[in-house]
Amino acid sequence: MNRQFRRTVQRVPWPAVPAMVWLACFFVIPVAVVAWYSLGRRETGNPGRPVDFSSLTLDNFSTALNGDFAAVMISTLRVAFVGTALCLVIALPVAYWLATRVPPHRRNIVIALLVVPFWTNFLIRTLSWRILLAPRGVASGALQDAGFINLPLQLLDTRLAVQLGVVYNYLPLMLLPLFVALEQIDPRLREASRDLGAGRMRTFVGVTLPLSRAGFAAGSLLVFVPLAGDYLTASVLGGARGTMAGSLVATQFFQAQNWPLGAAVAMVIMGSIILATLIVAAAAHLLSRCAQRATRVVPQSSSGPAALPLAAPRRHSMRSLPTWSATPFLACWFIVVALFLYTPVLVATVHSFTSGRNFLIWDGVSFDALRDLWQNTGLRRSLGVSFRVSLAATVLSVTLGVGAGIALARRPGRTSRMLLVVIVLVLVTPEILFAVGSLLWFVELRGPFDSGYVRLVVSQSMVGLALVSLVVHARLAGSDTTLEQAAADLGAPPRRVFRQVTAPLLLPAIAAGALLAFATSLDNTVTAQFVTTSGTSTFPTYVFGSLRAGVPPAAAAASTLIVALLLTVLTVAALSTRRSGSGTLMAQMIGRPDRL
Amino acid sequence: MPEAEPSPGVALRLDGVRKSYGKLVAVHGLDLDVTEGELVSLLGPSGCGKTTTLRMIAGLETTDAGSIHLSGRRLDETPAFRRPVNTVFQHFALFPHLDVSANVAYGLRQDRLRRDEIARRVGEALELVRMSGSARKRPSQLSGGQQQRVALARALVKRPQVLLLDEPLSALDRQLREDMQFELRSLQRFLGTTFIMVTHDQDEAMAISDRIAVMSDGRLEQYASPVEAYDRPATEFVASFVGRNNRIDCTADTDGRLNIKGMSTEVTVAAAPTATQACLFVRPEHIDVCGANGAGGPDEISGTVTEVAHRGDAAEVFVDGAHKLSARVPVSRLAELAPGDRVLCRWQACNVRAFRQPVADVGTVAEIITEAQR
Repeated sequence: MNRQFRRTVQRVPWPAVPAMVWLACFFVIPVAVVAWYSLGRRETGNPGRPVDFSSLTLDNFSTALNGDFAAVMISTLRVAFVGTALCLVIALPVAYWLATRVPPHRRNIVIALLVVPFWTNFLIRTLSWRILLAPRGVASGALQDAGFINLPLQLLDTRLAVQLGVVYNYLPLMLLPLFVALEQIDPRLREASRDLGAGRMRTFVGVTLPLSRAGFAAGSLLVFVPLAGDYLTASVLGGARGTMAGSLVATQFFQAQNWPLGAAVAMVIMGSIILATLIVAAAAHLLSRCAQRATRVVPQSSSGPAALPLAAPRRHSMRSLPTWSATPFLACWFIVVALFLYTPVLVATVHSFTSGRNFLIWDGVSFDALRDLWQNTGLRRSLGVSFRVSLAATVLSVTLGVGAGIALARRPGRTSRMLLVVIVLVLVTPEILFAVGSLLWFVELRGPFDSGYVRLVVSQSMVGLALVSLVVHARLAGSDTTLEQAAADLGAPPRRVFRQVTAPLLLPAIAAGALLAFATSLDNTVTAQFVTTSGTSTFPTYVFGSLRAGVPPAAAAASTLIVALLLTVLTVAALSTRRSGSGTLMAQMIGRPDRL
Repeated sequence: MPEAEPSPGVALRLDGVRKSYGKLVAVHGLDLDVTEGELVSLLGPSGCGKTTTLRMIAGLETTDAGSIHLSGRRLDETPAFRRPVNTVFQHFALFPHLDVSANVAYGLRQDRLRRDEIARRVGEALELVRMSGSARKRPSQLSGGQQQRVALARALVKRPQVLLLDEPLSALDRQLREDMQFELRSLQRFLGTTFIMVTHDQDEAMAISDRIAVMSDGRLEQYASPVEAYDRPATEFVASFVGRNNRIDCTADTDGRLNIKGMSTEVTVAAAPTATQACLFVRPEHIDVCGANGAGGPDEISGTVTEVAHRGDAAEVFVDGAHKLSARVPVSRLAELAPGDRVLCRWQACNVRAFRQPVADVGTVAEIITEAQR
């Protein structure tokens, strides 16, 4: 009995317990609370919690699946499907070029180059497309000059603009997993394929594609899920015609005050995403089964060794075709994609020096924006809130996430597997669902959770926790336990092993995870919008709030300064860890935990 | 037999083939003829250009200069996937997502053969390497030796005119490697296919090759039968790389006489305009070790036994005197030799190879002289 108890105690991944409690309280329960709320009835008398649970109902779902709602849901799914497919088509040549043509020591730099534009504030870089796509804007002028169109470009506030915007915003989430999968393929397999007579395309279809399936799946999932729940891109670029399902939720919460219906719509979004994912996964599985069947060969046994015809070499046709190289095409494609990624960011930076009051309208050069950073109280306060909240959320994420990461890597078992599933779920749950759930749960909890700061820090620590624990996990899983065993063998007790061996090994991973968590939290818009209270508006919610009245150029300047700040921190950290030789921080920062 | 046996002759010819990576020259103008049905080994230390040479024949690397001809037709302008040569890769490079039979069928599918034809030939190839029982298995479920057989079958099923093998046995453990050497050789004899094998293992090259091309620093040092390379190494490099050898440094006079510390010899090298460094090679099995009774003759080296090692079939004696030598003696003599013993070592002049060390470039010497005159 006693021994059994001790064994049970030993099996518990203790370092992960705080993270597990935290995830259960502020991720699992909030998501479950959404389901509960979707069964309630709207109550008009109580502005703090306008729901009546005295009798449960499914009416909200019948509304959410009806007419207009269903139409928006279907168009959202279409945008998400097309967006995911476009991301795949655009990212694949870039990832392939990176994995096969760029020498390994340069790859991290190139990837960093591709990811840095995404540190610009989500709304600011999406807004830049309004500048580019405006009827009198750059793209319109160029297309008219080139003679492709006669009238000014009428792209803004259409579904096409939304489509473009989401492809732009979610491209890196496709790029990274694809690249990682392609890079892991042994280049000798492609050589073997060529040696056996397969040309470029047949090698790609027969060898490269089947071996990078996991990357395709991960990339598609990482793009499709957040894209289907996204409503910010649509509200910036889509106007009235480009509404996405997520904005229906926001409308129910912020304008109609119909929380149960909002919760039901969020559930429907989640349900459709799961359904769509399952259908696509099943189709992909079927397709790969068919492909497998096509390659299957049932060898015939011959009548005996005398029949072996191997001795007579077949005369091959040795046509020497001019062989074209795919490298220039791939390199050009990379340049085009890099331009696509950087143009809006550069435009945003240039436009932060406009002299008008609206960031979108160029009105001559002025440096008022920098002064305005101090004089615009709303902006300044929101930046202050953002930095304070992100710092606190990062500290919380690191404190909880390091233990979780260690447990994942060093205490494998059923509990750890479950924890890993929850952590991955944190990253692939549509943010809108989590945002709604957090709001509802905080409203239920009351007490300290009435404070906007507490709500923001708690809700934003969740994604950070997931990121930190995954990076730490990857770092530890990459380094085997021999170092720790060696320390123990040389007489160090467990505590000292951790302090003197494990912790130094982890330091770059922790730094990378922290920076990643901080950057993500700083850019968080949806959750912040839902849980914030008056007076604790963060920088992104401030920008979102000023969309109607016109975003001041100072906001773009602030976003550029944030990028500069993050870049400086990254460079300093990368330089200081390079000397210690304990893994490249760059690799971890840019989401390459596999290369630690 | 669908076709007549091709007339024996040169199957593959390399003419002045050159390859460089930036400033590093991997292969300097290499000339090589491979006869139909021959097993040729490219032997050399890592970085000598042997794998690059093989990859240029396969078409996986381009040549910078020179030409490669296969049965009289130009090969080096054809892309890899159209060349009638196939490769067994170093770590086999079996496709992990395909089972054994699909791996073997892969090359035939590229030729768009009929399904039943593919099935028949895959069956034959698997039978040939005795892997018919594992047709459904994945490469990850196979042992190293089995993967090796599948890789062989996958390349041979295409009926290549030349089969290229890149260190085919290096991934196997020693026992298996020795078994596979002879299996490879008997397979090659049975099929009559020309094999070109890259290896850094000289025992392997000696054991199964018809001819060995010894390479060093991107140059061909010697291209000869194993016996010739062992008994009559063409260069100092071949003498020290192929087989075990004792190297004795000495100097050579202009007329070619050697001056060796502690002894004299009748062996000479070619005459040269100046006296140079030289070296003398004598194989361990050619050294006769006997107890030192007196000073010994002028053609004997005296020394002290430092170590005696039992090698199973023979014993190795290490002697330290004017030169460090190792000699191979019958095991029966172990009893009379112990560390610390004074011994005499001698050998017959016919078993010795001597080389003059390359003199500094004539141009350089002339420069030094003119520099001195100023």
